[in-house]
Amino acid sequence: MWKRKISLKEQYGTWEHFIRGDEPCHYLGQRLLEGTNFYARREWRGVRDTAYAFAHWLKLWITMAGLVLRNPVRVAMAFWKYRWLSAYLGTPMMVDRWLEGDRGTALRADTAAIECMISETVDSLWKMIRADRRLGETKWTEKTITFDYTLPKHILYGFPGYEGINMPQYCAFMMPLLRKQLGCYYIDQTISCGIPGDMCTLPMLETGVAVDNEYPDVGNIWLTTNTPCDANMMDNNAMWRAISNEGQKAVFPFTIPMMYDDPTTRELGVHEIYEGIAFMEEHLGQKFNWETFVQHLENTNTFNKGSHERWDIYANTDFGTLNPVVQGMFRIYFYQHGGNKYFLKANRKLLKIFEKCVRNEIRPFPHARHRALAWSCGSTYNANVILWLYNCWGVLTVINMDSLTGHNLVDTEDRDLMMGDLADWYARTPMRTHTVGGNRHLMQMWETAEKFNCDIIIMYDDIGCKGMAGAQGLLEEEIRKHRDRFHVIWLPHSLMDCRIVPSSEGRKAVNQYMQNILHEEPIDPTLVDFDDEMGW
Amino acid sequence: MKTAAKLLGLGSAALAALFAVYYFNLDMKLVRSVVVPLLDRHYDSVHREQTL
Repeated sequence: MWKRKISLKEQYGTWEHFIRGDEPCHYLGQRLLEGTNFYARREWRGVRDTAYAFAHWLKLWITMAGLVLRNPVRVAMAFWKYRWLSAYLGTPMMVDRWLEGDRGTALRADTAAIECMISETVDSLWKMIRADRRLGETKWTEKTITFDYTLPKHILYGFPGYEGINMPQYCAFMMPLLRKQLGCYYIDQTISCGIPGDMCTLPMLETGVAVDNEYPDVGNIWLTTNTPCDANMMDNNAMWRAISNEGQKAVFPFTIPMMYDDPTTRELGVHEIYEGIAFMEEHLGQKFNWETFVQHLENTNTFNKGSHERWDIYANTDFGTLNPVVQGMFRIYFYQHGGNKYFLKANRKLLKIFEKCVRNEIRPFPHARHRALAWSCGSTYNANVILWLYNCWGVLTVINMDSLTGHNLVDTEDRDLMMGDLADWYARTPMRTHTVGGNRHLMQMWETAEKFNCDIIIMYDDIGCKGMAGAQGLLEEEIRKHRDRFHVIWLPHSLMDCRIVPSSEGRKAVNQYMQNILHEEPIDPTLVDFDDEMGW
Repeated sequence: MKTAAKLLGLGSAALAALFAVYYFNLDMKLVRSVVVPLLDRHYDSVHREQTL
């Protein structure tokens, strides 16, 4: 039976604090069930914000129920068939983790972004399920196109009537975010086939889904890619076999130049996009529609202009409103989908909230003592560690590496320039510009930290990433050069496998730095050390 | 008038029950303790042709 460790009187002190939810310390750790990250009681955020969070929770379940109601039998069959789909039942719990400690404008902004991501996910899951041959062929089967999720779907908007599904994102990438043990399960399936276990766990997870033969059979073509890194290229063979049904479907390998900032590669990138369009025209029997394509790019520009405005606010004030984990995930999601109706709606809402904060000088994160940049590739199973950083130590991550992809505006007036800009966009895929496509990311880290007025850099250490392991010495050297200006905290993780570096190990590394180097006291002592190994 | 009062009462009771589910995290406790273990048992019982 769960019992409060801190009494109500000790936590809130006065009725006013209880009603407004603005007590000095939230004592979030005491709400967790022993050994897990499950709440025994959801967070009390004051009357107004709890009502708001409750309404959001109701809406979330209604949205999820909406997926089932579209075709209950087919969706039930999908749940029965695919283990990965069961992870989505944990969505409300993931949302709880992403909203930890949020109050007022932060809660409103974060729920707007989360609502966008969930609506998009439900929509895509439905499009995948309705087209899946394994559940019975439908008129949608041929109208759906599968592509690798590190390949943004922009060119698919030139084929109206067809739906693009970035399949590995939903069947693999999302697993540890929703239920970390499922990441481990699929990694084990890969290792059981003889793949060495000491490499990046992301392609291992994707391969594991292929080993279990759990990718839905959708459409007649498969667009694959070499991005973002050589580890991901390893899984192309397994993915090709699984998704193209051993070569029964036509496959286009969308080859993205490795050296994104080499002027000659831009031309090659443009050539590759035209090749991709020609491939799709041939196999879909439909001409490329430049009008719908340009419209989509303009929508994408609109969203990106909004992002730039928000980043200006983060960089120059304390009024940035999205919390660190939601900000990062929202940008990653956007990168893959571009400016569709969900992102345009969220963009409008967010701009209003950000403007309100600036106008009224509202600090959405009042406990912030440090401003941080999170660099390198972050963990999935421990994605909300940067929110924990704020809630526990007052370290507010104002920007992160993954957010800084896909933000270049595309010139839609001139077709040649437009295709060049798009090639550039494809080349600057997540991680490519920052970890595996050269060494400029070393300098970008300091530049970005300066631009955003940070005093701390959270350096993710994915121990399975060979690209970053190769740069470790250079990084250490650079860190020494900049140690008078920035504190750099290495945060170890293993991307998709929570057994190799448990979440508590990552937190321990930060705790040691904050206590031994900075000699600071935690903002929330109940979050310093807790065991969540049996959680999701 | 009586019907409206009844509807209001029912609506309030439903909302209170839903709030209890929300606050005590009963939805996720159910998913974690009952739904997912049942589904996992089913997935584990399915014979899979593992290929690479």
